[in-house]
Amino acid sequence: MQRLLLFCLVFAAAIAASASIGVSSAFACDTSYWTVGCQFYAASTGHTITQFGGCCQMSIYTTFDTYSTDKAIVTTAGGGWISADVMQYGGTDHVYAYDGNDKLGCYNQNAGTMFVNCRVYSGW
Amino acid sequence: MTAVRSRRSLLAALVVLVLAAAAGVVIAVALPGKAAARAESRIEPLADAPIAPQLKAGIATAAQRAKANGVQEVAAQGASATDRAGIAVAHAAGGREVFAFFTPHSFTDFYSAADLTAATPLIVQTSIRAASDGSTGHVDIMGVVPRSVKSVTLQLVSGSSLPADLVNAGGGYSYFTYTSDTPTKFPQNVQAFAADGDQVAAHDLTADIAPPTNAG
Repeated sequence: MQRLLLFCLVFAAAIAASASIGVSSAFACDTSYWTVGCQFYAASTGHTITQFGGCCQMSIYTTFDTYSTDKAIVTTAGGGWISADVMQYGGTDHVYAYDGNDKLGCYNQNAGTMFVNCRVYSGW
Repeated sequence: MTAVRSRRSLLAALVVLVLAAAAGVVIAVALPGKAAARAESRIEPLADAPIAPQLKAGIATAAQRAKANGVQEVAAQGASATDRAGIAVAHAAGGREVFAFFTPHSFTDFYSAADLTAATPLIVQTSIRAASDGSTGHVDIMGVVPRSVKSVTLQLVSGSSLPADLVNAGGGYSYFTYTSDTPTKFPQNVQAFAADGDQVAAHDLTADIAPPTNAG
């Protein structure tokens, strides 16, 4: 009986451990892929990527939990917002620059503290 | 004498009625926009749509990637070429309907209409632009519903409501658009109704149209 109880405890612990690894992987901030990082930033901080310079078009891809949408946001170099498009979960937005120094990034309009995996890259 | 007066009164009343009816017709003809009071959309081939060539080329490229063809554009009635947002609708293999959203400065990849409406029968895409004081100065919304949805109503910030035209590209889905530069006419909520009048879905736009400056 004690062996069975021990087995059940170990089994449950193993399941819990694997589940927690899965969750942390989903939120992992691998900046080699999620180029804007996994942190939420207020628009005014300018924590978006400056790559419109010398280029005219960029794309943005995000994924996130809990909510089904977030926003692709274009800001000025100083962080003032210019435009924002709602993005559907797993969607890609292709954006033209208003100005070569504009920045493109992610903004979570649902809750200011949720992390967003956000990838911005040149071209389409 | 009394009978004559009565006839004159009756005649005068008739004249007033006829004049009032005529005035109503004149107003209705002269001010069709006032009489319409709807979120009107139209559909036309993408090739004929008055949108910027680079945007048109980008949407066409996205359609090619989705292996879709026969792209049509749904946009607000009367939207100018330089200030046009809407939906590009096309069909992929097996007649599968796909669509992409676009604005004057962006466009999305094509989504499968069936996939995106599987969880909810009302998909609303919002695009906003800043006013000079940092508030929201312009709102575009683009929506998709299955054909089982028979009507869509927009609740505006002012408290009034506006029915939206539903247009289709021959498939199983309907599309609508709305655009405004006037804060009191910004949409705040979208409601979708079935044929029996039951509300089947609603989408609160409060967070979507708010300027992205409210969190730190």
